[in-house]
Amino acid sequence: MPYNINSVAHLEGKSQFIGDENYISNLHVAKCLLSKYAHARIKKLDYSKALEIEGVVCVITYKDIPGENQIGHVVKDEPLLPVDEVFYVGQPICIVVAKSSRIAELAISQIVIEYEELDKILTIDDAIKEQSFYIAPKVITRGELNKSFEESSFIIEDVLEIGGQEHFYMETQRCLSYRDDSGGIYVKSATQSVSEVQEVVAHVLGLKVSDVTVDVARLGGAFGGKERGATLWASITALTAYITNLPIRLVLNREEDMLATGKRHPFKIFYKVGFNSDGKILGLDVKLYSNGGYYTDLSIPILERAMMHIDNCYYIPNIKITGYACKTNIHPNTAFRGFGGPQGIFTIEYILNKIAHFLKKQVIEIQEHNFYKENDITPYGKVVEDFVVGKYFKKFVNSTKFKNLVAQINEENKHRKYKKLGYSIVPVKFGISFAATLLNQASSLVWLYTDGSVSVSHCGVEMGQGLNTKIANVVVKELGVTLDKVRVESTNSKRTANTSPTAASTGTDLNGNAVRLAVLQIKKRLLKFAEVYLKQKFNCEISKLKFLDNSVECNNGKYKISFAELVENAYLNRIDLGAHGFYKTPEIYFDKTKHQGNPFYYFAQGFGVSVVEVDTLTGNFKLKKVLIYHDIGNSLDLNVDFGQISGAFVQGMGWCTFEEVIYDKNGKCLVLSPSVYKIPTISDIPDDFEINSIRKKAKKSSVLGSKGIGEPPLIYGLSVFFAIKYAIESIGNHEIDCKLKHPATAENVVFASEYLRNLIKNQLKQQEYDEILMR
Amino acid sequence: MLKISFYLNGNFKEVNIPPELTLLQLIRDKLNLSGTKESCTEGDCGACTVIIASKFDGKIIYNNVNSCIYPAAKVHGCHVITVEGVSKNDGFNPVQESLYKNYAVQCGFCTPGLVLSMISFYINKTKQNIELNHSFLDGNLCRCTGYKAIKTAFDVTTNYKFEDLLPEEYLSIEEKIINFNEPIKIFTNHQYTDADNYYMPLSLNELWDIIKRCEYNYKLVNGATDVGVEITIRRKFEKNYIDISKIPELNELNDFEDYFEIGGSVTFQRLKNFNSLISFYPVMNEIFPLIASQQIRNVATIAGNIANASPIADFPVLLLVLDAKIKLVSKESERILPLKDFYLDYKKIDLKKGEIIKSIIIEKHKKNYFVNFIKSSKRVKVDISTVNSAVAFKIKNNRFEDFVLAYGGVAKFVKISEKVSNYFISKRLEEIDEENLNHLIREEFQPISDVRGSDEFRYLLMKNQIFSHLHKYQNEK
Repeated sequence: MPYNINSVAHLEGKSQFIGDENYISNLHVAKCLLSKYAHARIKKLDYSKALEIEGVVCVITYKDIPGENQIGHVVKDEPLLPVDEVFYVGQPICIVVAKSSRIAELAISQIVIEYEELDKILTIDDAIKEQSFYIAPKVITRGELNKSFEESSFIIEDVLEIGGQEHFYMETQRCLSYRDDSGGIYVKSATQSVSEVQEVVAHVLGLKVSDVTVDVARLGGAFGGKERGATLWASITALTAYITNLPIRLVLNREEDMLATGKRHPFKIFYKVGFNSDGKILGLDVKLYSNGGYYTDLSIPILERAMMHIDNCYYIPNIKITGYACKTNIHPNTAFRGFGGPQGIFTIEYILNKIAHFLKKQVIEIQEHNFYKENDITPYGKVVEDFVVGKYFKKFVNSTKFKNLVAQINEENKHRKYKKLGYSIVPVKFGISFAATLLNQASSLVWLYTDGSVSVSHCGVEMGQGLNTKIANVVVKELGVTLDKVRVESTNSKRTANTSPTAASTGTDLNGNAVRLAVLQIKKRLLKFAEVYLKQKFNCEISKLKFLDNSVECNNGKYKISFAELVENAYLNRIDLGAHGFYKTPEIYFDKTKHQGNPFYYFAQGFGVSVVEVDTLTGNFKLKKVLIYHDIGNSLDLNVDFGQISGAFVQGMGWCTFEEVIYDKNGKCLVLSPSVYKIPTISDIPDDFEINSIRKKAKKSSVLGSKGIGEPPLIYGLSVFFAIKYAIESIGNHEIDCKLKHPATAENVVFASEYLRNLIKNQLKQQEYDEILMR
Repeated sequence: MLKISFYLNGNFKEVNIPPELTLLQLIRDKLNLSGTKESCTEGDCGACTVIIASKFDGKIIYNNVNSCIYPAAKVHGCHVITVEGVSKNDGFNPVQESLYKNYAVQCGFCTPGLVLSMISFYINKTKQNIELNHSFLDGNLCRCTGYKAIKTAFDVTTNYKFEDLLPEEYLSIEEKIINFNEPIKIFTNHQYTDADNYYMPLSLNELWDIIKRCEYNYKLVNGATDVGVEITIRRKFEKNYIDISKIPELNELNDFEDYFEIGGSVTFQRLKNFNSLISFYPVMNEIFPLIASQQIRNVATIAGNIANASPIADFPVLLLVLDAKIKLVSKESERILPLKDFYLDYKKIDLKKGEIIKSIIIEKHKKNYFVNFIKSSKRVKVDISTVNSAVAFKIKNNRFEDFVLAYGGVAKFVKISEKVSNYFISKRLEEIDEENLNHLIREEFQPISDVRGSDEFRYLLMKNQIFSHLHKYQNEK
C-alpha cells in the first residue's frame, strides 16, 4: 500500500519542527524590534535600559555585523539591519538576545527609539503618480496592435484590481543556529532555499560559504512564503549565534509574522481589448502594475510570470503586455504559490467575462472561441504543444451532465429571491520550469546500506507537499524495494549543494530526476554484479534479471535472492554503493531582454468548475460543488497529487473570496491574526468535491511520466469568484455586469448585488447609472 | 507561584507555575512535550488543541480545548491528553489510522491538534448530543490539504468505544479525578511572575472571601477565552485572577414554569445540550454553530459573552430580543436587571464592585413568536460578525405586534433598534418600505469603518438583514 512517508511521525507528534528542541541546553532566544513606521529616519536608538534587565545577553545592531550588511541574493538591495532609515512597517531594526522570549519582550519594550517620519509611497496608485518602479518596465509584444484595434468591431477599456494574500503557513518563520567547533556555523532554517540562506549567511558573517551548514528537516507549510522570506530571519539568527557564541532560536509569533513578512502581490491592471462580434480577441494592450513593497525580492520574476500567463489558454494574435513592479513602503511582497500566474490568468478570465457581458453571450462561448490550437505560439515565443485542455473542456461543456447543471441553476434562480446560484468554469495552462533557466538544475546523493536500505539526499525541501514520498517512490520504482526501505534525509547543504529553491512546482521534476539518475548508476553496477553473483550461486546462465519486492529475480523467477543479500555481497566485492546524480531540464532557454524563448519544459493543464449559492443580502456564500479535471500524468503517488490539487484549490478560493489583506493609511498591515484574516475552514468546502485525472500519459512530462502539481490547481479557485459573480448577476438576468471586485468578500458581494438591484429598480441603463454614481 | 497537580497522558504531575502560565506553555516548555503546536496563540487555529478530562456534576467530561489560551492553573485536578498520549501500545489509534490511510496529513503542523479534536468528537458522540457533522473541526485550521482528505478521514457516523480511542488505563484515572479534592496551593518565592494569584473558589461564600482578600483588585475568569487572549496577545496581566468556573451555584441550568435560568458559569456547549430551551426556542439550534469553534464553545460561557461587552457579540443580540434579564449578586446584594440596561457605553457595564453575573433569565412569553438570528461575517464559520441582528415578533390580524429588533456591530454595544422596532408595530408586511427603513437606520445608528467592513457596508447589512428576517418568516409561514 502506498502512503505518505512523513505522516506517521506527524500523526504521533514526533516530527520535530524548529521550536521543538527541548534537548538543547542553554538555548537563548532572539527577538527583533520592528519598525512602527513605513518610512522614517531613526533619530535615536537607546537600548541601555534593555541591557539592565536580568537575562538579557545583548542588543545587536547593524554595527555588529562582521561581514556585509546585505541579504539581497539576486538583486543586492536589502540590508540585514537598517543603518538609520526604515522603509516599511515591521522592518527589523535591532535584535535582543535573552534567556527567554518573555525577557526579550520586556527588553524590547525598554528600548527608546525616536523616529522622524518621511514621505511614503504605499499603494500602486501612489507609485504610478511618483513613478516609483523597480527597473524599466518589462514588455512582451507581438503583432500589430493598433491595426488590430482598427479592425476590431468592439473595444473595451477598463481597469481592474486584484488583492494580495497572506501565506498563513501554520508554522511561522523561524530559525535555530549555533557555532560549530571549527569556525563555522550551523543553521537550522525553515527555508525553501537552502543555498540562498547558506550563501547570504556566509556573506553577512564574512565566512566562506563552506563554513556554513544549513539543514532543513521539514517546514510546517510555506507556499512560497519561505522561498525568499526565510532568509532575513535565518540571517538574523545566525548573526546573533555567531556574535554571542550561544545556541539561538528565533520564532516569530503570528502577529510579527503577519506584520513583517511579504505576501502575494496585489495588482492593478489597465487594459484595452479589441474583439469581434463572436467574441474573438484581435488585440490586447495590457499594463500590469504589481505592488512589490520595499526591496526587490522576487518581484521581477513574479511580474514576468504574470505577464507570461496573461494568455492562459487563449490565442491573442496582437498583444502588448507591459509590466511594472512598484516600489512602495510596505513589506517586500514575495513568492506565493502560482508566482504571478494566478494574477495573470485572473486578468484574462476577467476580460473574457467582460466581453461576454458586452456581447450578451455565455462566457464559455468566448473562452472556446479564443482557445489555442495545437502549435500556436504564445506571446513569449513558446510553441503550444499537446494542448489537451481545449479538447477536454469542449467535451465537458457539451456533455449532458454539464448542460443539465447549467439548466438547473438557471431554472432554480427564477424561483429564488435572494439566495442565488452561480457556476463558472476556468481552464488553466500553466508553464512548468523556473523562468530563470539556470535554476532548473538539481543534484542528489544516494547510498545503499548492506541490509538493502536506502538513504536519499536531494536539493528539495519537504514542506507538506509530499515531495519526499514522491522521491521515495522513484527509488521504489527503479530498485524494486518497498517504500519502508527508503529514507529521505533532511535537506542539508553538505550533502547536496548549490540548490535551487523548492518552488515553481518543480520540486519533484528536478530532484526526482536527480535522484533517479543516481539510483540508475548504482543499479547498473548492481545488475552487473548480480549477473556474476547469481551465476555463481545458482550455477546457471542468467536471463531476465530484475529487482522486485525487495528481491532479485532471474530466469522468469526461477532463482531469487533478497535485495539485501545482493547489496551485502556487492559491498564484500568492493562495489561502490553510492552515487551522486545531477539533472538539468533539457530544451529550455529564455532571452530575458527580448522576453522570447522556450522558458517552460511543458504546460500543466486542466479546468475547474464551481457551483455556489450566494446570499445576496448578507454577502455570505456556500460552495456547493467543485469539479476538477487535471492533467496529472503518470503520478508518482496519486493521493499526494490529489492532496495538492484540493489544497491548492481551496487556497485559491480563499484568495478570491474572504482572504483580504488590509492596511491602514500609515502602511501598517491590519490583518495580524486569524481572528481578522480568515482562511477557509472545513465547513467552506463542499461534500460534492470531485477531482479527476484527465489522462495517465502526457506527451511531455517529467520524471517517470509525472508532472509538476503544486501551483496550477490554485488557479481553479478563480472559478469560485466567477461563480459568485454569475450568481449575483442572475438578479439582472445576466444582462448587466455587476462589477464584482476581487476578492469577493461579503462586502464586495453585497455592494455588487445592491448595485444591480438599484439599477433595475430605477430602470436605468448601466451606463446612465454609472454616470450618476460617478457624480 | 502556584502548585498544581494533574494527570498528563496517564501520569500524575505536580508542578509549580506562575499564575499567568498557559497550558500550552506548561506542556511544551516546562514538561517538554513538543508534539502540541503553537501557531496563533489566540485560540483561533486549533494547532494547540488538547483534550481535558474534568469532573462535572459527579461525572467526567472530555473536552477539546485550545491550550494556547487556557490558563495552566485550570487543569488542576484534571487529566490532560496530548498527542503523545493517544497512541495505543505504540500503534495508531483509529483516528490516526484513518488520517494516515486517507492522506489527510501534509505538513503535519496542524495534525496533532486535529487528532485530538477528532478523538474528542468520537468520545463525546456516544456521551452527549454533539453536532454530528464535519463542522466539529471548524476550529482546526489546515492550510495544506484543503480539508478534502480530512473530511474523508473523519467519518462522523462511526462509533468507537473509549478503549478504541485512548489507552484503556485512562479510564482508571476518571475515578482519581472524581475523588480529587486538593486545593491549588499558592505560595511566594523570589521568582518573577506577571500575575500574583490565581484563585479557584468552590462556592459562592469562598468567592466572597477571596474578593475581599483581593481588596476588589481582581479579574474574574471562567472559560478564559478572552482573558487568555489578553495574556498572550494583548500582554495584559492582572494582579489576581479569580476563576469561578467550578462554583456549583453558577453551574445550574433550570427550566422553571415561566422562565429558564442559566447559571453564570454555564458554557455554550452545555446550553446547546439544554433540550428544553432548544425545543422552546428552536432559533438556538441555528445560532450555536455560528458562534466560535467547538474548542471555544466547550469552555466559553454565556455570562462571559455578556460581561465582555463586545459591541459585536452574537448571543447577547438574541438575548436582547427575548427580553432576557440578568441576576447580579454580591456578598451583600442581589438584583435583577433587563439585559438592555446592563450596557452603558463601549465596554462599560453596570456591574458594581464585588458583583458577579449569577444567572441569565430567559422568559417564556415569546413562545409563539417568530424569532430569528442572522450574522454577516467574512467567513461563515468561526468569525466575528460585521453586523448581526435578531428579531422577535408576532403577527396579529396581519399586522406586526410586539416587534423587537436588535443589532450588533453598529454601536458602542449590542442594542435594540427602537426606531426600527417601533416602525414595524401595527404595520402589515406589504407596508414595509425599504426607503423608510434606510432612513430610520441612518437616523439611529452611526456605525464605524474597520477591518470587518465599512460604515456604508454596515448600513446596507442593517437594512438587508431586516429583509432576510422577513423573507425567512414568509417562507416558514
